[in-house]
Amino acid sequence: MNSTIDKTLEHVLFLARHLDKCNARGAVIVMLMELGIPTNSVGFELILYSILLQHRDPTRALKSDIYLETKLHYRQFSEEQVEQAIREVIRSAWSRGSRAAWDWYFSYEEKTVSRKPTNSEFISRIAYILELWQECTRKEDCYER
Amino acid sequence: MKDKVKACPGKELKQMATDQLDALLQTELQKEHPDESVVLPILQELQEREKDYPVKIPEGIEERMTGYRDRIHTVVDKPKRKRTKTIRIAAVAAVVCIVLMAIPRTVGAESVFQVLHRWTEDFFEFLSPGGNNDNPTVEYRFETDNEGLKQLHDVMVAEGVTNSVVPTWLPEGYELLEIKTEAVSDTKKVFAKFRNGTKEMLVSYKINQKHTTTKYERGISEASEYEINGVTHYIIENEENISIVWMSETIESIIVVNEENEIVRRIISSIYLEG
Repeated sequence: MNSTIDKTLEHVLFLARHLDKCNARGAVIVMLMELGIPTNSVGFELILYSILLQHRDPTRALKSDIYLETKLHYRQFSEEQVEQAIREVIRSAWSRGSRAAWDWYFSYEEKTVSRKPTNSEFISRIAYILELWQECTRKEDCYER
Repeated sequence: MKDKVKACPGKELKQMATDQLDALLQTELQKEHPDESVVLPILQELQEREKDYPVKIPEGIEERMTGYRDRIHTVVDKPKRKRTKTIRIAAVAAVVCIVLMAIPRTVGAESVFQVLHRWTEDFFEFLSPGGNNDNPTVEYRFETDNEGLKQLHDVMVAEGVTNSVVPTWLPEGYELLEIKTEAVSDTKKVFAKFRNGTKEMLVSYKINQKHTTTKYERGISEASEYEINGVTHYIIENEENISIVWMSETIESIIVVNEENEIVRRIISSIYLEG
């Protein structure tokens, strides 16, 4: 195995090998589960929807836009409630999720992740990893064994 | 099969071929509510297998991903702010706010009543509504070539807003995509989205904002202040976007835009065209 490849890319390639027939929603669900986001919480659905929004339109780095769209989609929440629910699930996952998984997704050049990401950092990071995953699943070389 | 996985995940999974595990995983993920007690053990088993039989990473994969490290955001190097100092500052700010509110208006309290705000590890927020316009008698005019700004101004006037809060200038190319209005209890919200190619700008106003105010998620930098015509605007950078927030009496205004600092300041300055 190439020793210079970093943890994030290594894990994305792993996901690309085993989730090649998945859609983007399925891939994000796996990522959130690995990070320890509780799947039975309202925040799980909200953060999933927000990440897919961000992924579909990367220019949408504007939190008020994403929160507004998420709020309009789910109808029962205000923007503040959306933001709060997302922040709460991230906080919960940070305390219960595995450190290895957080390193896969948030480490950089072999340094371990040192603090809980903010909402926007989390959403944009996972959306970009999803983009990497999509890139890998299109390429035949990603299946080489 | 799924019940068997749940009941004794380790044993059953080890007996399944990798292709079968992949198929089971993808079947589970196609459901509306995938079960993590099925998904996570399968992933763990697959990772165990690859540890014993490492997969060859194709050559050139890293080169194909060149540039992704620069784009991907990191959380590693950002300093952790101490909470105790922040709590102390917030407490002092709250006390000052209470003291200032207690000063009778007849002794000139209005001139010292400033908009208070605070930083926490994650947020910037206003602690109190209230204006800090030191030039209440100056009237500003609204003149613009941008049709979208004209529409936004008309909407604000229809909502009874007489304060100057709408910019009169934007860089060339910005077009209005949508304006939405919403009423939440006694607060009205006006929200406008502009687009210029791949860039977006959001303008949001909360009118009659008497109680809690919005929290603005911050990046690693502090808010800088930009004072113009006696009004203090707080410029907050978060990733590639700049948010400008300010209070004008009971109107909380925010503009979020992906532009250079100079352009941002020019947009703000254009609000105050003297009549």
